[in-house]
Amino acid sequence: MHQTVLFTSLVLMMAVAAIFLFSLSRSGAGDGSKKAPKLGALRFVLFIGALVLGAAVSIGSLRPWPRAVAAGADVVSVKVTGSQWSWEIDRKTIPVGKPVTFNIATTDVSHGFAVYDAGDQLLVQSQAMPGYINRVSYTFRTAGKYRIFCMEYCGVAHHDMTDEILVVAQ
Amino acid sequence: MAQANAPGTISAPSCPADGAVKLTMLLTVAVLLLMMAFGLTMRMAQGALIQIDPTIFYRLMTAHGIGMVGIAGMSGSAIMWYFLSRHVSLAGWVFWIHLGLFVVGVVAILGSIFIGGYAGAWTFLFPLPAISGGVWDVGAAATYLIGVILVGVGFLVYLVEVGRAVIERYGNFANALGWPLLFSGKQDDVPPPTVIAAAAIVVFNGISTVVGAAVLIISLINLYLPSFTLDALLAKNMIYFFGHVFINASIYMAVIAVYEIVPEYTQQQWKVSRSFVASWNAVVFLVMAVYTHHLFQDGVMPAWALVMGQIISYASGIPLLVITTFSLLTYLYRSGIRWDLASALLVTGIFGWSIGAVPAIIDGMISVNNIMHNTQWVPGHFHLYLLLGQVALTLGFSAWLTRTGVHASLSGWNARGFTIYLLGGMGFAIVFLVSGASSIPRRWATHLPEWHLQDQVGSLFALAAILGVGIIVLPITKRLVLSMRG
Amino acid sequence: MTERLAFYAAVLILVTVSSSPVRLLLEQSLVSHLLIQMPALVLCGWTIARRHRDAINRGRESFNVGGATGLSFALIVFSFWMLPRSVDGSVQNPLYEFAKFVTLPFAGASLALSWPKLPPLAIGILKCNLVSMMLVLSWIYTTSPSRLCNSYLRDEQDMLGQIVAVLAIGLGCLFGGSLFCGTTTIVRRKSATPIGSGGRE
Repeated sequence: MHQTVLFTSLVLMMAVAAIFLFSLSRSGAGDGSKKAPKLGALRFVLFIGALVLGAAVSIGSLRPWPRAVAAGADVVSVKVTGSQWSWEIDRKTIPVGKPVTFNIATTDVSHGFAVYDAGDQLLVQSQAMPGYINRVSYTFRTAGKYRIFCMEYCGVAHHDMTDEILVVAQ
Repeated sequence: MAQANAPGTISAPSCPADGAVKLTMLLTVAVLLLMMAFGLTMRMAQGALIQIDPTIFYRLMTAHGIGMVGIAGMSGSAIMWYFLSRHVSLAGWVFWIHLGLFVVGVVAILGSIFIGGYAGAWTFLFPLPAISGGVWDVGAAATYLIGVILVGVGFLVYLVEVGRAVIERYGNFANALGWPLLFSGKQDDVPPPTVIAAAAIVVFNGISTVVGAAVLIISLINLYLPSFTLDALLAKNMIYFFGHVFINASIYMAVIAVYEIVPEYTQQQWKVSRSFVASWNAVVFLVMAVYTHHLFQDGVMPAWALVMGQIISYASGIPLLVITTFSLLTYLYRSGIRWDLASALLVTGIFGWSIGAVPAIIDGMISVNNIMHNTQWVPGHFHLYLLLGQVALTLGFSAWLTRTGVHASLSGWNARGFTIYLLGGMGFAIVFLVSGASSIPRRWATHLPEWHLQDQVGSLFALAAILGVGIIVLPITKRLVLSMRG
Repeated sequence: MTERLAFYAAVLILVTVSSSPVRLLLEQSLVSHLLIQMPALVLCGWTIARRHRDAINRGRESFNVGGATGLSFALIVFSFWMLPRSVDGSVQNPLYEFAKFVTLPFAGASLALSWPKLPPLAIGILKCNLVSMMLVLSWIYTTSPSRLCNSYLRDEQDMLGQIVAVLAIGLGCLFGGSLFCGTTTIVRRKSATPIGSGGRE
């Protein structure tokens, strides 16, 4: 997912850059006519294309709802509380393959709860906001140690606000 | 085109508070270079090339954030003022008040950070200014908030004057936003692009300033009376609404330089078409409604607001890419444009803004945001359209403002500086994007060893960007100083 | 004609709200006290003074250049009556009550005399500031941990806060909307517009 996002972005950025380069390479005075080309039709096609693409991408990327919270009898519920500058996690051993719902709270300022895998890839995250409990779900597929980082700047020891959870096979 | 009297003099017709505009540009160059140096320091610290205390790092981070946002807004407002005065009557003293309040605010902000130790990030996210873990005291946070309020009051005065002058000339905002052309195709007295842009900016930046002032005063009261609490979700909505609109406005104001200067090069006026008017009117709505994409990771936000955030993030790219970028490229096509520092920088500004929109829109998707939010992807995308967008537009305007009568082409040190800046800026932002895809969090004073290499490469590009900007601004600064003395 | 009608209506309303039964009725609730009685006093002062604006101003222009003196007076009076202590005082202390019935109409009157003289820039800033500060006031009323006015209940304070928030948003929309409705176009074209300034073909 991470690399796909990067790759897609870089390709699209290069496409935009290519359009710039194409136009600029033809910015020299042409054969007499200095008028900008009449490209109203092209602009209209681009506009409609952008709308159609946008609708397709929106529907495709929002179903299923990307912030769905798992609920049910077999869901493992974990309570996470952030405080300057440490996490309190009420259940640090989590079974593999079961949906886990993190209930995230804070005792002071906003924090960001994020789970990183052994390869330092961010898997799932949510804000911790004073006065609220944010919920986010994830199903771990591999057993092992996972690191917890703080993603929302919360004061001068923000980067030290780390912890660990253990995902175990049943 | 107005010609220069002699090399070294400025040939542009002066505007009300011409001196204040030039002073703003000088201030911009100084603040920009200082804040870029702060940025380089932070990247080097992350890459373990230097050792700095995390407390100092987060102070630098706070200063870098508010300094860059502030100077982007200030320089954008100077560009808009300069060109709007060609079309409506502005009172020069108002810009001086705006600039004066800005300077006083900046002094307060710098004092709060480097004397008072405030390091709550520029976003002053409630309740962090009040709860520092014992690092800074209430006075420092209060001074910071007061500094931001002063800058905000300056902007309010500025926007009201712009609105007043636009109404004086066009009767009302419906006319100034081109509604007669948009809705009934009336061709008489259609406002020029600058006026349409200015009217749109007054509407959305005015609203954001009012909301920002309210949340700043509330945060200030909360500092001294902690029992007066604020709903953290409401505060976050207000702060991000204000912050998002404000920083976007800095780009929208600067883009006016393209509408006004590029036609001098292409000998073709920027046409106000129905689609141009429609896109600016759409921007008024889009720029205000899009801020919820900052709150995707807050599960307590209503789902409709998050869906709106994703859809409007995408939609915001359409007026930019299909109207502004597309128009610029068609104007340049076969235009025989003369490339000098100003024209190259202005086109770069639209280029940086356009390519920056790509990672922005992609991160504006909830499923992507789940893994990219608050990673270095975020500074990656916004450095594209700030460092290579807003800054390029501002430097392009400054280069044009201080142009000499000699028709200089892009050569010599100008060309070298420009190339180093462009490559440095691109590399710097792309390293951030790669780091984001590697899940490196943003706003961390110290990094894991496996992240150091990326930080070091990023530092190298940062150094190049500073070097490039330095080479570009050296002659500009000299001519600005000379013209202000004369 | 309408101005004369408004003048007599204002006098009538001023007498009515000052009469004991109406006065006590409106002061029973914090909401009607702050959002009906006080604005009514200001509005009556405004309307009464407006009819004789020219007569009052004649020969006294130097006292109120640009409306600054009148505006300052009005703002000071409003600030005083915004303090919860003053509101409590007016219910408990007859002297305060008397002062309120005198100063608020005068503040309204001085605003009426000054408003047309104010530069448009000042009016715009005042309007923006009004909306912003009403949002802050609404927050203060709804989140205060204690009663701000000892004479009134907590519930009323909450209600007042909510109404002020609605009013702030309503006023914001009104002020914003009015920007789109003006018709007076003073065409003052700037001369010497270089290339790139027209934008029309």
